[in-house]
Amino acid sequence: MIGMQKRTANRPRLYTLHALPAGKGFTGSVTGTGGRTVEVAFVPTQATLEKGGDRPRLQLSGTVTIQTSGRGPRPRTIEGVTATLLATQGSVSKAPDAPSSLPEKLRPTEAAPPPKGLPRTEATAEASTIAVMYLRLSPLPATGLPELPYDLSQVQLNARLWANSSLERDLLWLYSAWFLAQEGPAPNPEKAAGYLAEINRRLA
Amino acid sequence: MQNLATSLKPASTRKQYDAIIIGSGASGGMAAKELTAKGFDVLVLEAGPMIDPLRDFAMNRFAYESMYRGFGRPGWKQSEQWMQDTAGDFSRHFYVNDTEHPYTTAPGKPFLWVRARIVGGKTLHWGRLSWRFSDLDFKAASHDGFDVDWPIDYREMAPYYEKAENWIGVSGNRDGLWWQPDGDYLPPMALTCGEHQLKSATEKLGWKLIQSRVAMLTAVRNHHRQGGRAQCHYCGSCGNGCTVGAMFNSLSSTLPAAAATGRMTLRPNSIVRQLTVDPTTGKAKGVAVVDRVTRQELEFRGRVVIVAASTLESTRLLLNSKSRQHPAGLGNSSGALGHYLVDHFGGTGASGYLPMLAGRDPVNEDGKSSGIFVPRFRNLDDKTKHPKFLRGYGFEGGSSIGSFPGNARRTPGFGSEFKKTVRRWYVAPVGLTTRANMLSRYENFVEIDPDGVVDAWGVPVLKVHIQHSDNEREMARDAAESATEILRRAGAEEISTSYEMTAPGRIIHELGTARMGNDPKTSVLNKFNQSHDVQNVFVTDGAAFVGAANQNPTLTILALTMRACDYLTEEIKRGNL
Repeated sequence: MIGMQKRTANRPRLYTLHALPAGKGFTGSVTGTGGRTVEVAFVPTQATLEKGGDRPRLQLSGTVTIQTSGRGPRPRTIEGVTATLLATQGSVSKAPDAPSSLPEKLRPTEAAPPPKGLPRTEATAEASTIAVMYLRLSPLPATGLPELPYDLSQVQLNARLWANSSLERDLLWLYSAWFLAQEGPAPNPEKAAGYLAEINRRLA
Repeated sequence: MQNLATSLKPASTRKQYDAIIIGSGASGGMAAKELTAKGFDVLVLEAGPMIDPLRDFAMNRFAYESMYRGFGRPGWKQSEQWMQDTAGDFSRHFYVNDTEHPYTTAPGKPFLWVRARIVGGKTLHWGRLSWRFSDLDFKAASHDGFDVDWPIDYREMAPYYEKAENWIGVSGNRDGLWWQPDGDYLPPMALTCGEHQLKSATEKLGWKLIQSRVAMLTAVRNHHRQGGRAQCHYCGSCGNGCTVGAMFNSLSSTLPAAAATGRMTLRPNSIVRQLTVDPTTGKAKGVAVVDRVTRQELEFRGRVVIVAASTLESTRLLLNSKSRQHPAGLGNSSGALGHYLVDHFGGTGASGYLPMLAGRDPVNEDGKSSGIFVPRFRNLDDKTKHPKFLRGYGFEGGSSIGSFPGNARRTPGFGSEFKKTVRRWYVAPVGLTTRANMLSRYENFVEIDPDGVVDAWGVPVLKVHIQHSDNEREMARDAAESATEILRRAGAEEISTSYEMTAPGRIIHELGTARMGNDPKTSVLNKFNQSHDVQNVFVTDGAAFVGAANQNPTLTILALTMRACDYLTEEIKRGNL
């Protein structure tokens, strides 16, 4: 198992970290040194658009906190971590209701009847939401994290979007609405900017 | 049932196997059985773990034996297996963990990808429906002008359908329908009272209703008995694993037969990163593997490589197998690799209650693993031509009492009146759900995710682009209305019509993306599932399909695999491989 390998100069790469929603942020776990479970939490405090590259991308900025189960190093927090959105996985679940506090101009309009009165496909178009955001974390300082014997230079955070609280429900809806407005087949930059502002209201 | 784990032998990186088979499901298992029987020394690489039927199957296990009464620990599905739609409390270990197996989709166009990375693959829990395609399907383009025909016809496939049906054991009737060809069947499972009612109603409309053809042993032939398979005893646990081998799956049937020859090496936990290519010839020389558990990197060599990892995993593998000779992916000189993705759609249909059955004493109808099938009745000929869509659909369905009163969720009220209502209607359900063709279009495709998303082992993942067209939507509307009319004619009450189409992937019949064809400029494989570009590579699973038809694909996959194995054996004898 990776966690049991001896530390060498060439650390095995940690490719992905699956994380579940935890309020504003996401929490996952990895097998660390000695087979211990290491909890890794990413808590964003700001969402911006990173320009450059092939297209503007959502970038969440915040902190990563690492905590080993049982006896181990004290929890430590790494400031200034960014998570840049690479791509998403569409959900097939029913979309939640829009946040009740949305400004009028951002409220979803009543869905137009389907063209020619034809049946719709579940969870598509305006009824679509995101199941997972795949984000690239900025390099984490592996030498200062003995409990995580990995190459942490390019960790992909698989941030599951699923609502266990009203905050998580709002963020699920807003991230999904932002993504459709920003990168969907009918982009709406004004609405995308509005949704980004609403996301930031909740992350602040 | 044999425990294959006890017969595993180590795989060698030093020898060249006659054939490397990637995948141990329907196609991979059949390829292993066929080729070992022909004297091939094969290496079967399965990405997932080994399985012990006695430990891992939950046959005859009741919901009350589970702490969570069959529903699983709250939140498990949403946190770990949110795309594994058919995974349940007792079967979840047959399915991948979505946390380790990402894929991405286009905005607003979700795709539900159900996967099994385990020895036996999706055969451990598949629906077992086994239908032949006819020339209405193989030559659909000649019939209606859309897309292209398959490069094969029913006459060529018929002997392989027969071989496949005989080997796996299919129960059903010979119904004499030219567009739903008959096979050599074991006794059919009887219709229930409600299903007889549905049959009468369907026939009043001039359509057919037949017993489902399922890969279940309602009788045992000699080779089934010799292989340790037993007759079905109607326990109804098919989706949780069948320890008696009554349902066809690789674990009970093809893999043990291959193992018995002494010529199969099965290596579980072997994730194939890519096919490796000889830089001087451009031919495949083997595969590069990462061990799922230890993360060790290995290479195995084979004279022939058979890719049978399941439709999209096979195509993902080929797209990831770039090299100087194959810059767009292995065997992709046509640019067709990844394109023409389809899945059947469902969701539309109707359900209700049959009042003539209401209030009767409950009987054990949940053990019968087959229902009814209404074969396609649209666009068979000029008389049945529909003005608004091409191709057609069928209905699966039935009328059987289940072990759980699901109707309670839809019954309003509370207290003793509520209970009386639930009990009255629990014994009288009836329903039809669509299984419909989706047109094969170039613009429905998969690619390696261009933004660099990877899985837990660093293997680049797929991005899926798929959506329905108006042809599917018109078909869906017609199907919903037709199903409702059948139920109305059957005398059903409280009929509920569903017009919502399932998201692509939910029916778990994803097909295409490495289609066969006669023209190497527009197809990936020839008519024998052989890569046009790399002659020692074969793709034998659903990726090879040209079109979806509306029938379940597994029997056709099995038949194509047997045919491909015959062909490659002859090619080796002729010195062409």
